[in-house]
Amino acid sequence: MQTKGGEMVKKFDIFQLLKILIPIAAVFLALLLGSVLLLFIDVNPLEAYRYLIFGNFTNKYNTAEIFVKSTPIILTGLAFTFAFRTGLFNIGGEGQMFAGAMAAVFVGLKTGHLSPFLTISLSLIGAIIAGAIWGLIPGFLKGIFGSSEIIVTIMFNYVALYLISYLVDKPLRESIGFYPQTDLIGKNAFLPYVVPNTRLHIGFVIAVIISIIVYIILWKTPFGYRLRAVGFNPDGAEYSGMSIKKSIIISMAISGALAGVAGFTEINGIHHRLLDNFSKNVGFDGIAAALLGSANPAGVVVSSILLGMLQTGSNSMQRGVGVPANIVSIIQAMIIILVLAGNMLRPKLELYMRRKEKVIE
Amino acid sequence: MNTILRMVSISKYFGTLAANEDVNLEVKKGEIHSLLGENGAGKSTLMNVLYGLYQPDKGEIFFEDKKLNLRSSKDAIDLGIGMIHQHFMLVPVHTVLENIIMGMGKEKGLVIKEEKLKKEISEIAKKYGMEISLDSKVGNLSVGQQQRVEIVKALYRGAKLLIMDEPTAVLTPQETEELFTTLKIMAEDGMSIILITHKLKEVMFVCDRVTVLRDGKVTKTIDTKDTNELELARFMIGRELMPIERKQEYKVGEPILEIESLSHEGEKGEKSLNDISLTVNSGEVLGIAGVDGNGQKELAEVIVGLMKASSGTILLDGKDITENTIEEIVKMGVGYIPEDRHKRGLILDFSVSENLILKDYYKKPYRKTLFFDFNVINKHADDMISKYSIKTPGRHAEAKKLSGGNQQKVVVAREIHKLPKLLIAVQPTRGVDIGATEFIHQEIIKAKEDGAAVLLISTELSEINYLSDRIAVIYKGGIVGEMDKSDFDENRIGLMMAGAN
Repeated sequence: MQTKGGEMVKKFDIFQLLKILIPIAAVFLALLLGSVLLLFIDVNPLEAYRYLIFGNFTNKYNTAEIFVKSTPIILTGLAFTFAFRTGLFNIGGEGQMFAGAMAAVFVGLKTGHLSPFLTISLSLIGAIIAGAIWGLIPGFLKGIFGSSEIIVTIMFNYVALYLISYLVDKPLRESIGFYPQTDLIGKNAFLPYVVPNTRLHIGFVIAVIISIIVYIILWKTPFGYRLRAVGFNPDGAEYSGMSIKKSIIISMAISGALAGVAGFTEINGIHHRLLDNFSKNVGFDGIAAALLGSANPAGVVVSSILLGMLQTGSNSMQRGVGVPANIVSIIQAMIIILVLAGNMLRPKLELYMRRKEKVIE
Repeated sequence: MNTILRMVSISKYFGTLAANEDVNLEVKKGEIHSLLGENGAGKSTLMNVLYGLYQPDKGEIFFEDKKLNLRSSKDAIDLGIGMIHQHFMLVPVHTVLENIIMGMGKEKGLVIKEEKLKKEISEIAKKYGMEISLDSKVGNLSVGQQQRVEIVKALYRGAKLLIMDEPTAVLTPQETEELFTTLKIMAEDGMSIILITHKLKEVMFVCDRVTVLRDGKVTKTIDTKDTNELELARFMIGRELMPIERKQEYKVGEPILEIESLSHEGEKGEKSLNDISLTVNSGEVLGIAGVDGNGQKELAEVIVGLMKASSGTILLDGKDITENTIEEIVKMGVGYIPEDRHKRGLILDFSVSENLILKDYYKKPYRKTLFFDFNVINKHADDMISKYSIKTPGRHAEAKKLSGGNQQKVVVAREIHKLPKLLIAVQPTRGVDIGATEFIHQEIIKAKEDGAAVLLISTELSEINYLSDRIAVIYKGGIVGEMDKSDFDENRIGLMMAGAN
């Protein structure tokens, strides 16, 4: 109470640091717990982790693969972040990504003969619109009828998933008719590669640019201000004349659009066709990245790259020491639990630190 | 008289905040001792320590010359310390009798010996001049009656020391008087009472001694007969109270807000506003007095469009706004200081500068094309912070880091600085320290003198009396009387607040 301005600023910084330290501590703790599992199956954790972390960097292709994997995670992570800042839990990143992918494939198949710039732009726009619609419907139901966006978005994941299964099985099945997948989209619709002889495509750059745009929208514009006000305190936002319904609906649509872009980068950058079960769980990895990155665009990019690294590293770990790659899923899940636990403990931790300072005085 | 309670150098910290520091309190047998201090001075903390709800970080408590080591409120009750909270701890659907004997475990056997208990309890009540009907459901009783139940409950449990936390906050003036009579009889009978309050008049009227707290420390313990209200105020806030400057002459202008037989129904169809008609003119303050929960919140929220009226009309400057939404009414520039600054008035996670533009965030000059112009926003924040003397670590500090008084100043600054035509202020100084209260009162008077029509809704009669030019009394959602300031009569208003006309 009696602290002067100067001291306040200093303390403030310590607590800011705490925000960053918790996710880092969570990652290390999760790796530590994971090593217990590894010991159970008689694997030397240090050796396994050497493959997990450094196995990626043995050659250019594998290193680039980290960023390939993290690209859609960044986008679905931003999608979750955007809705989260408006006080919504969009668990439907996966479905919105699928919706975007369907649109991207459709556009890619139909307009693949046009110039690369044109067809890629059209695919991107198609994916944005499709993703936005997939987010808009739950947003609309939430805004008008108050239905839980969590339940509706989860259900919409399945709708999108099985819609794809149907599309690749019947109407859009490849002309040879052998596998349940579509034809390749036009060559001109392929995203250009940034690093030669790798799969790293321009989608990663797009994802990073979008993360900057998301940051600017949320923190530098009146529009983002309104969404964050609704997210922090809907009663206060209502009192000051903001429309909560409108904010919820728009935010969900934008959130869906961001996840839709992930569908676009996956189709036009990697798979070049629609197939069953592609990029599975990327939507949920995005939620993990958003939570790990404290729902902050820069944090989302960093944690997405970390998750990308773990996922590519898991393959090299499997090859190196014969540990099933799935162990990484366990570690990833533990990271999330520990981050959430850490965030719950943070107020107590801050209180404890403050009290300690007092006693020292 | 001998001492019943001694609290010796009690300290209690919350984080770095010293809620109590080296506090000494001594209460004698048979005295009414006031614990006086502003909100946040540490009164409630000290009493919660005494009642066993908080463990002190330092210090000792002696009760009847025995050192206490309280671990819970049950320990305190067993020793004969009773506490009556501001919000009563009663079960509304149970009868008075059931509430009083609840949880005592005095009964042997399976059957409650009602007649015997009733006799015992009635005797206690009669002894101290309290009338209660033991068979009524608590939910049907008035607030004053419920308080009596709480007192009898504490007495029946053998309280020798009774702590009362702001007992008069919810009472009408008449009920307050009755309460004080009871307290005096109890004291004569040898009971000790600690009265927590921030109302100086009550201290002078009913208490024998007073201990004043400021910023968690005792500033003075003194006999009331050796002091006066002015001196106590000085101990309490550390300086003299400043009288409000008022222009000698100002003009009452055109009607700005005209309400015509307005009604509102709650979700269950109950009438929370009943046929209200009011007019507020430019350049005057209309004060709405009333006991909390008689439709004050609904009246304000219906006017600004947060709730829908079920019938009646509201005219703003001659224009019908009954059907308008809150968005539209905010755009018309109605200033509204809401009852609850945490829920409505502020986005606590936003910074001070962000909160100061809450209603204008999309407007120029704060916006340049699509983006914020942070130079303008920051300058606006700095201007407001200095003009309204908001104490904050900086414009970027989150609103939740500010004290209650300074949070309220942020709200007041935002609502008043644009010179609204209509200003609605609901409990503008609730939970605010005296310094900030003075300031907010000054600003409301200024707004009025600048030509605003002010609708002031408050449960503090002194605030209504102080600021209003006309006074209306609200009871169960209806206006039961209206009078000019010159006819102000606390007794009459008190009766109206209780429903008598």
